[in-house]
Amino acid sequence: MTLLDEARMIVASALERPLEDVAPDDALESAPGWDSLGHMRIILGLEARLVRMLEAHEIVGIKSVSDIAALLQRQSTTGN
Amino acid sequence: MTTEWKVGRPVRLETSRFQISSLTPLQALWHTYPWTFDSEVMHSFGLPAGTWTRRSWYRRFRKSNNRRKFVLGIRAKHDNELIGLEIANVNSAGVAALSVLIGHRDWWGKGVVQEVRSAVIDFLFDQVGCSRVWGTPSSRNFPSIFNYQKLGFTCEGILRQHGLDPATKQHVDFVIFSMLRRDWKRKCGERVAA
Repeated sequence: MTLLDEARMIVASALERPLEDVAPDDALESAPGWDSLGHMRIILGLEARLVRMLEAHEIVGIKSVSDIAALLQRQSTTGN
Repeated sequence: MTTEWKVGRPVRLETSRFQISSLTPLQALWHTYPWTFDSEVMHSFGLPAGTWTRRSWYRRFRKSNNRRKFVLGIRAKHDNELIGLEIANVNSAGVAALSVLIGHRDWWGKGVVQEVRSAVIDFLFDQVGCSRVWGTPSSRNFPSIFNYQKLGFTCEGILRQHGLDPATKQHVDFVIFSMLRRDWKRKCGERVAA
């Protein structure tokens, strides 16, 4: 599984949507069902996956599935 | 839709689902005081719950004058029930600070802030003459951050450990989001063109 797939899974779980409905280029401005509560669940799901609280600059940087994948990539590269 | 407003007179705005209108300080107190006991509602506003007297809660609204401070009630059209407040404080430079409180939990995650805030921003730019609107949510207030981002606000920076999280009592960062009138007009033009 790629990190992009893992990011899609976090979003699908948070928005309670089938994985196939979450596209790699989905973003908060345009993706159906990506609302304020869904966004909260996405960030909490990501923090659970990373086992740490996100920094403020990381939180404001999350606007799309690819942003989440990039965070997962940084975590796997640097370990934090 | 916006009806014409005169300085100092009550504001009345309308969106597809909501009526937005000025509240007097006593109306705001009467309708919203019960919300001050709900920790989730109050924490989303960056305030503690269960510690407010009627007098201390009233103080938050008493300077409402429909000139520089607007306390706007949000009512659902279908039953006229008050579900939240949008508050705007305008300084002498025409810069408006925004904050919102949705006290009716059934409306969370239903796009209320997107719909209402768009109308309020139009009002502040077009009728009050503001040049900039801004807000500073806590970095742990994810729904609020989402709302600023989805409306296209610019993140100007982070205020490190700028306040206390009302839930944990730990220091927490705050985020500065802003929108300039020219950028809002450009975005509105893009939406119409789309």
